[in-house]
Amino acid sequence: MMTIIVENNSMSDKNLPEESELIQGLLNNNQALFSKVVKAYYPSMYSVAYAIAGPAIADEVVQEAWVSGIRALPKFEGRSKLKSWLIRIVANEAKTRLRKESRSVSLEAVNESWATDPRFDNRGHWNETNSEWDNASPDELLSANELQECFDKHLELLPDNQKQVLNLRDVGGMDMEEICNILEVSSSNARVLLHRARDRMQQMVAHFQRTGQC
Amino acid sequence: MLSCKKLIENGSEYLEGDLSRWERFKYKFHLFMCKSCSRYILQLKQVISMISLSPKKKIPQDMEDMLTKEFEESMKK
Ligand SMILES: [Zn+2]
Repeated sequence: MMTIIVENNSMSDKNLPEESELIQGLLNNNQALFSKVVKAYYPSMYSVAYAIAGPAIADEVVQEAWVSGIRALPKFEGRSKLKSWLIRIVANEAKTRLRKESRSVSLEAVNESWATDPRFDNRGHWNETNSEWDNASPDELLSANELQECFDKHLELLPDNQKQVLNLRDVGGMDMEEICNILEVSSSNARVLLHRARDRMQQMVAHFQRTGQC
Repeated sequence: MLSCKKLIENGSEYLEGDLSRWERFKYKFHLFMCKSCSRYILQLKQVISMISLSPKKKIPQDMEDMLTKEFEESMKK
């Protein structure tokens, strides 16, 4: 069974009207709608800013991005979704801020090898069968909460470069080419970083499923 | 046949559609034959959606107020 309970975000995009209605509403100065949008997009925008620029200035970056976004809104052409557009502004803003503070996006070597992966034998076969995930236990809810916590903790523990690519791709939904431009990494490195991060999270959940422990 | 390890290492390339037709065919064939790997790919998809749902931080009130004001001002013009 593949059900894993992920807490539903009450401020999620699902409470927003459909894209063209959304843009029209904002351009018609619909304040209530604006406030909904700001709330709904904040978690993703913050995560992207945080991954690139760090916790100290992440909020400033989000705020700056919104200010630029608001000013540019009348010229918004709708070639991408409003959210993707804002995520792109956040990512660029975060990168610019880093440059100003002459820090750089961390680019530790990407060549840490897969060679000794304990999941596989020396012929590349699974040592143990990869088991199905099952969440239908009596203390489903509790364990789901614990799983959440463990998941968040491990996301936080990822190396910076993996965290950056992962957030831009899986939270921000940016395409790989844009991600490579912003982070100034080659496309093959970005792909390795992305998969390492996802794989590590898969291993964390698998471990949790097996042992019930973080 | 691709080894399971190799297959796992290319999981994201498969999901992102970066494999060539022939590689993709070999990949799918392996998944069809191998329970552990096909579970892995399902789990990887699950993990990706968990990641996308992971940000939960709420907007600080002062930022919301500041932006609402900014929006109001900007739309007046
Ligand atoms: Zn396999």
